[in-house]
Order: sequence, then structure tokens, then C-alpha cells
Amino acid sequence: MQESRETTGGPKTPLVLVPIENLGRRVVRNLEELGRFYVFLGHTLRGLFRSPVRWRLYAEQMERIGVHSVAIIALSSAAIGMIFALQMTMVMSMFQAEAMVGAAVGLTLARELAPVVTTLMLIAKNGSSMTAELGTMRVTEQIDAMETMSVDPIHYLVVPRLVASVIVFPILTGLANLVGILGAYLVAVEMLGVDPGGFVEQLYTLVNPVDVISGLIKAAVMGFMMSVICAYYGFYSAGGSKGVGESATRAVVTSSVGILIADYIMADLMLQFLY
Amino acid sequence: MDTTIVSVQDIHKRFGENNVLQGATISFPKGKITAIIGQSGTGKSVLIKTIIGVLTPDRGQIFYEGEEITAASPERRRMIRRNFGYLFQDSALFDSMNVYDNIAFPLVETLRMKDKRKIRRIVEEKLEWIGLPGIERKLPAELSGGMRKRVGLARTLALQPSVLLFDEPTTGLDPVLSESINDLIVRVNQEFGITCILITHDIQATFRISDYIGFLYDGVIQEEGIPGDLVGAEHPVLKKFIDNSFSAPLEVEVQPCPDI
Ligand SMILES: Nc1ncnc2c1ncn2[C@@H]1O[C@H](COP(=O)(O)OP(=O)(O)OP(=O)(O)O)[C@@H](O)[C@H]1O
Ligand SMILES: [Mg+2]
Repeated sequence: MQESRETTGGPKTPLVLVPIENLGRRVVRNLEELGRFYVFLGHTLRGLFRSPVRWRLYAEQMERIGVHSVAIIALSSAAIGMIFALQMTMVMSMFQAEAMVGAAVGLTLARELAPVVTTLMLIAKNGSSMTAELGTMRVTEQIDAMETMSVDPIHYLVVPRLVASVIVFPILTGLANLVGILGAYLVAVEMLGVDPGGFVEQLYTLVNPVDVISGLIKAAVMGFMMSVICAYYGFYSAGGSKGVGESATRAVVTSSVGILIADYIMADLMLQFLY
Repeated sequence: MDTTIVSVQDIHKRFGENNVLQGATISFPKGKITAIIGQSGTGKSVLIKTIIGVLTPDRGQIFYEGEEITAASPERRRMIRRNFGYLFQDSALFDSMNVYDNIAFPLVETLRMKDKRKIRRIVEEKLEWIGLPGIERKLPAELSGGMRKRVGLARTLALQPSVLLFDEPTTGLDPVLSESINDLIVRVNQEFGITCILITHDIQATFRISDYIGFLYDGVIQEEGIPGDLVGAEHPVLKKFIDNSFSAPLEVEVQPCPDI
């Protein structure tokens, strides 16, 4: 609610204190928002273990997030692999180490680029539409309608999206790894004349399963974060279609920044304990 | 007076600085049609949303068949509220589902019915009842406002409620359609014995179809009674409402059109 200061009957704040009061209000509002987010998160997590399990909705969401994103993920990861190979071949050739290109690209793809690029693409493609869809359902009272029919809207709407994201993100990240390295091979070996044997051998020796798996774990975490954040913004949309649009923008920004921060933290932890 | 099925006592609800309900009290007679009238933005929708539980009142009690809903456990509250149906102001149909799935939704998700044939039979029967057979495959976006209202009604009826709440069921519809919706409300009431509570701006129709009327103003039910009693009520705003609705039909003067 937008409360105007003029109409409140309370005591007047001295002018010098107004900024402090406003700051206080902002802090309180943000804390309230954070509290609501954690309640939402808790409700969603509990929903994972409650019946009924709606397999049909899980499958539907996996199809929407997964199958329909294959082309765009393949395209963008091929581009990343090719660009990266191009630059890497230049750098490596300075040290006469062109054979290392495959390993360098493979390692960065597996650990960082594949999960991050996949997630950012999926946020742009699915996160925003997830927020818009749930937001529209909120402002047109479809979510309220569900509640009046004693159906838990978080369980029905949010849980399937969460489950689908956590499953689909790593699968698409795996795809991005494959296509990305193929793109790199194409540029390095076919176009720039790097020795194919060296490319493949270095790739095999330097990229370990743990590197790939760590990337897939990251992708699952990011899928979790994206679905919860985007669903949250949609679920609590207000203010008609304009409000839904604003929610979608905020959801995309928050989840993009959020996953990048999370990526840094995970990278740090994994470098210390995993590799 | 008749037995009461639902009553609200001293309900308060505010949104920030906006004091919407300030002690609304009214009892709804069982098996009857009760209308709540009042100006736009006085909180009529808020009042019935507190009854069905979409909003929680800040203070006050709500009773169903003598049992206080507001004091019941969340589990019990959900059970009691199964007796309530609500037709939203804009129907609130699920726009990603076709008409069939909309009506089947409460059967599958609320009643957890498994028998596909039985579900199909009920859906067809409801569509027949609202006078729109054969539109199962249509999406809500393909329906007119009046059709959406009726499909919304069919969806609510699928749960066989004892109390059905309507939020402005005829607003935005042409007079003929409004009439058909009003007829449906009367039929819901007479054929199934469902208690109907409706919010409306259509004062004429209210006086024709309802058995009991409450007038909400300034967050409180100012006047209530059977239609006959309300006609002579003192409240100036209510008087204006009624006078404006029942004034003589507009005389249209036909003037000869001057040649240009
Ligand atoms: N969820 C909400 N959050 C904040 N304010 C609300 C909310 N719901 C209603 N209000 C406010 O409560 C007041 C009453 O709204 P309500 O929708 O009940 O009016 P109404 O009597 O149904 O009007 P109308 O006849 O136009 O539908 C309005 O000022 C509205 O802004
Ligand atoms: Mg209203």
C-alpha cells in the first residue's frame, strides 16, 4: 500500500529526521519482503513431499522448459564454444601450445560456461514467462479461485515448475557441454588447423568427470533458484498487467544477479574442496 | 426470522491507511437470496472475500451453521469452507485450460475423483444446466463475458456448495444477458436450495430476485431487511440509490432533424 504522509494522523516528524524515517521504512519493507519469500520457499519445499504427486504437470513443465529450449541452448553453446576456441587458439599459439585448446575450452565449459550460459538463457526464455504466467493468474484471481476450491496453489503451480527446473537444467547443461566442445573442435581443428589428436587427448586427460559433475550440480542449484525466484515474483504480483510486467523484469534481474553470485560462491567452494 | 446459515459479526479490515470494513455485521438467512448493495469501493468484495477466506479479517467473527470459522483450526476451516462456492467478479476461469478441464478441475483436484466417465457425465450435465452444451473444447478466451460467467458458475456448482457467493454477476453484461444470469441465480436457489449471497449494483434486479438486502456504507451495514422494508429506509445514500433506480423511464423527445 502506498501511504501518503499528509493524511496520517500521527505526530509530525521533524524535517531533519525524514530521510532516516524513510530509510527505516525501506528497511522494514525489505525485511517483510524477505520474510514473505522465506515463507513461500518453506511452503514450496514442504510441498515437494506432499501428495498428490502430479506427474502429468511435472512432465508438462519439463517439456516446456526442456524440449522447447534445446535449439536455443544448442545454438548459444555452439557459439560460445566457437568464439572461445578462436580466442584460445590465438593465446595458446603464443606458447606453441595449441593442443591445449580442447582442454581449456572443455574445462571452462564444464565448470562455468555451460551451466551459466544455459541458466541465463533459460531465465530469459522461461523465467520471465513463468513470472508473467503466474502473475497473470494472480491478478485475474485464478490463484484465489484455486484457494476457494481448497486446492493449494503453491503445490499445484509452483512445485511442478521447481521439480522440472531442477531436472531439466542439468540435462540442458550437459547438452551445452557437448555442443560447445563440438563447436570448439570445428573452429580449432577444422578452421585453424590445430592437431586433432592433441586436441582430443588433452581434453581427455585434463577434463575429469568431477569437473562435468560439478557443473551439473551448479546447474541444478541454479534451476532451483530461478524457479523459486521467478515463481515468487509472479505469485505475489499486484497492480494489473503493468504490475505483472514489472514483476517479470524484477524476477529476471534478481534471478540473473542471484545465480551469478551463487555461481561465484559455488566456484569458490568447489575450488577449495572438490577439484 | 428464518434460520441463519452464515453470519458475520463486527468485521474489521484495513489495508494500510485504508479502513475498509469497520464493524460490518449481518446474518444471511438459509436457503434464501441475500444481496449486498453499496457504492463502488465501499468494500463489498472485501466483505465476501473475508467470508470465503481469501482475505483474513483484522477483527470480528464469521459463523457457519453456528460454528465460528474464524476460531477454527486451519484444517477445520478448510473443511467448513468446502461448503462455500464463489463466483468471481471476472469469473477467474483458468485461461490455460479449456472449458471441460475448468469444470473438471474441482472434481479432480478437490474431490479427487478418478472415474473419467463419471467426471465427463458431471461436466456435461453442468454445461447442459447452464445452457451451453457442446463448448467443452473452447478456451476461456474464446467465450463472451456472459458465457464465462456461466462456465464459472458451472465450475462452482460442481462442488455442490451450500452457500454460493456472487460478486457482481451482471456487471458489464447487456440487459438480456443480465436477465439470464439473474434467472440462473434464482434457479440455483430454487432447484438446489443453495443459499445465495450476491453483490450487485443492479438495484432493480436486487429488489426483484432477493429475499433479503443489506446496505453497506462507510464500512458498516447501515440498513438491512426484506426488500419491502428497505424501500422506506431513511439513509440518504440508500434513498438516492433506490430513487435513481426506480425513477420514471426516460422520456425521449423526438425532434425533427433540420436539413443541412
Ligand atoms: N487486496 C487488497 N489490497 C489493498 N487494498 C484493497 C485490496 N482489496 C480491496 N482493497 C481496497 O478496499 C477498498 C474496497 O474494495 P472493494 O473491492 O471491496 O470495493 P467494492 O465495494 O467491491 O467496489 P466495486 O463495486 O467497485 O467492486 C478499495 O479502496 C480497494 O482499493
Ligand atoms: Mg467489488
